[in-house]
Amino acid sequence: MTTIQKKICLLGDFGVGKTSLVHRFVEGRFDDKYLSTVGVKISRKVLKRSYGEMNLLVWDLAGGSGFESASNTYMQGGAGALIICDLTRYETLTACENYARQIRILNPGVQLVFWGNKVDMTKERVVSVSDMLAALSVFGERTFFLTSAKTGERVEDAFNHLAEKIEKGV
Amino acid sequence: MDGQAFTSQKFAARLAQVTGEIYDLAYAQVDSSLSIVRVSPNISAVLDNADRVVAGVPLTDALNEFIGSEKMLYSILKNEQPSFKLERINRAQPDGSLRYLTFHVLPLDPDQSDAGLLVIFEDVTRFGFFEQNLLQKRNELSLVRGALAHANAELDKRVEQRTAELVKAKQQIELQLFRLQALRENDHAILGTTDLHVALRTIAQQAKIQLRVDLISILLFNSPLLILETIVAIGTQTVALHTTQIRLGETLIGRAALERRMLVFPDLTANVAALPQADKWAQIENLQVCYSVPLIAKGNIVGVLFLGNRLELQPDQEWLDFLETIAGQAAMAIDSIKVFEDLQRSNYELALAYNRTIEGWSHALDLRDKETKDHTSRVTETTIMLARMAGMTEAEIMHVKRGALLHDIGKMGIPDVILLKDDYLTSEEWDIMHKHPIYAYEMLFPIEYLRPALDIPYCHHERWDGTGYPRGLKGEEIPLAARLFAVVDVWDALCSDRPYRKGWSAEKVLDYIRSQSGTHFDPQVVELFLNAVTEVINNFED
Repeated sequence: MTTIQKKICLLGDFGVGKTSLVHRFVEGRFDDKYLSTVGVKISRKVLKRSYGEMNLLVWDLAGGSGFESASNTYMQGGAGALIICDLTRYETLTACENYARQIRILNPGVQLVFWGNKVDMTKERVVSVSDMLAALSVFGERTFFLTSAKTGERVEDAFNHLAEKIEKGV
Repeated sequence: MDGQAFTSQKFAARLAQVTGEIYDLAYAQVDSSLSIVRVSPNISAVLDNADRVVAGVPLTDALNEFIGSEKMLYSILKNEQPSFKLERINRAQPDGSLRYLTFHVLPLDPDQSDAGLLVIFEDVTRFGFFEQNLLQKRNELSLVRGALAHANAELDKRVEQRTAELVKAKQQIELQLFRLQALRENDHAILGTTDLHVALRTIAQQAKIQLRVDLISILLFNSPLLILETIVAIGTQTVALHTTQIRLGETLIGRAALERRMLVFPDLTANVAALPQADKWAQIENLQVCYSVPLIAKGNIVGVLFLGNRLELQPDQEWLDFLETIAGQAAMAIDSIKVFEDLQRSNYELALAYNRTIEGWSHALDLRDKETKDHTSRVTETTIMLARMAGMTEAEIMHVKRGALLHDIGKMGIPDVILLKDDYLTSEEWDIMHKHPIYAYEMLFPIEYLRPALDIPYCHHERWDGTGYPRGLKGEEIPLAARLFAVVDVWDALCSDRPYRKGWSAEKVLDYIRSQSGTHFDPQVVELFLNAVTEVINNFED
C-alpha cells in the first residue's frame, strides 16, 4: 500500500474559522467558542485514496489581521493551501488575495483551494458568489467551496478536492 | 578536585544541563543525513513524545513539524542559512492541556559544512499562553469593532433609505395635497358659477399647473352638428386649434370622442409626415406628446379634454389618475351647468307665460269693468316706480306688478247688474261690491305663485285710519304695496274722465291727495308720491 505524506496550510484572517474547520475535518466536532491560535497547530488526517493513503499534515496557522503577513517559515514546503474567508466579513475576502500571493511566492507549485466559510449564517452574509469568483479569477481559479464548520457542510469535499489537486499537480 | 581537573567537555555538559533546567530547553544532535545522533538527558521534560526522539531515528519521523522543511534543513547543514526556527508550535498534551514549543535549528559547526545540526527544543508555554491571551483579546476586540462598524454602516444605510423614503413620501403627500386643493378649487368654480366658460377655464388652468403640460384645451361637443368646438384653450401659440373645426371621429381629438376612450400620442414629431391634414394644427403648435380624453357625463359625450406638450412626457400612474379626475370634473361641470341653463330657460319661459296670462286677465278685467283706456297698465307702472323709490327689492316689485295688474280681479265675482249699473248702488249692492277684495283673496290664495301678489288685490281699499274694507286694517297693518297702490289708484281715477264727470286737474287731485294724508293715505307714501309727481304726471299723460 502506498502512503504519501503532504503538508497543507490553512490561511486566512483571524476568526474566519480555520481551527474550527480542522476540528470538523480531523475530529468531526465543532465548538462555538472562539479561541485564537498563536503560532501553528499541526494535525494529521489520513485520506483513503485509490492507490493507498494520503497522510495530510494540516498546518493551522495563526490568522492574520488585514494585510499582516503569516510567517514564511510555516508555509515553506506546503504542497497545498486552503485560503479561507468568512462570508460574513467582506474584508476577509480581500485578505485572501494576499495569503494566496504570499504562499505562491514561497512555493510556486502550491495547489490552492478557496473557501467561503460560515455559509450557515445566511442573514449575516455579505460576500456573494460573484464576489468570490472575482477574487478567485486573479489566481486563475474557478472553483470554490461554501462551507460550514458548524454544520460540516462541504468540509470533507473541500479537503478531498485539495488532495486531488495535489495528486494531479494542477 | 580543582578547577583545572574539570574538563571543557564536562563543563559543556554541566552548562547544558543547568541551562536546560533553568530555561526549559532540550537539544538533539542531528547528522548530515538528518538522523538523530544524540539527545539531551532532559528531553522528556520538554517533548511529550521523547520516546520517539532517540538516536538513529530520522528527524522528520521523530518530529512531524519538520516535514516539508527538509530543504531548509539541508541549506543550514551546508551553512547556506545561519538558522531556522519554528515558533510556538501548539502541542496537545495527553491530559488535554496545550504546550507551546519553539524549535531552533543551527549548524553544529558553523565553520564546517555537513558537520551536522543542533536542534534546540524550547518550551515557551508560559509566553505562549500570555501571547494567546493578548491575541485573543485583540481579535475579539477587532471582531466587536468590525461588527459595530458593520452595524453602524447598516444603520446609516437604513437611516439613509428611510430618510429618502420619507422625503419621497413627503413630496408625494405635498403633490397629492396640491392636487387635492386644485380639485377643490375646481369644485368651487363649478359650484360657484353658472358660467360654463368660467368653470372650464378654472379647470383648465388647474390642470395645466398640476399636470405640467404646455397646452390644455377643452372642447364642447355640438351633438346636432357632430362637431367639437373649442371653449377654452390655454398655452396655445397660434389660433390653429381655435379655428380648426373638429368633426367627430376625425383628428386626434375627434377620434377620442368617437371611440370614447383616452388616446395617447407619445411622439407626434417622429411621424409628422403621416399626420392627417386635419391634425396639422398639432404640428403648427410644435406638439410632441398629446393626450385626448373624452368627457362623458351620464353616458353621453359632452366634450374632449386635450393636453399637449412640446417636450417628452413621462407620466406616472398618479399623473394619469389626476388627468382622469380632472376630465371627470370637466364633464360634470359641462353637464351640471347645461342642466342649470336648461332649467333657467324653462323658468324664464314659465315666468313669461305667467306674466302673459296675468296681463291677459288684467286686460279682460279692464274690458268688463269698462275702465278707462290703459288704466291698469298706468297704475301698475306708477306703483312700480313708487315701490322702487320706497326701496323694495326687484323680487318684491315683481309681486307688486302682478298684484297691481290683478288689483280688481275680485270684481269677477260681482254680478254685471251691480258692476255695470248706470245708477247709484243701493246699500245692499255696495255691500256686495265691497266684497271684491275678499273674492280676490279667495281666487288668488290657492295659486302658490300668486300668493305673494295678494297684498294689492286684497288690501288696496283699506284706509290709513282704519275705516277701509274688507278688514279695516290700520296704519302699517296695511301692506306697503297696498298703501302705495291706493294713492296711485285714486290719482288715476280722479284724473280720468268719467261718463258722469270730467277728469280733475292735476293740482286739484294733488290737493285732494294731500288732504287725505293721514286719513285715507299713509302720510309717508303721500310725501313719496308728491316727490315723484312730475314723473307721475308724465306717466299719466303718456
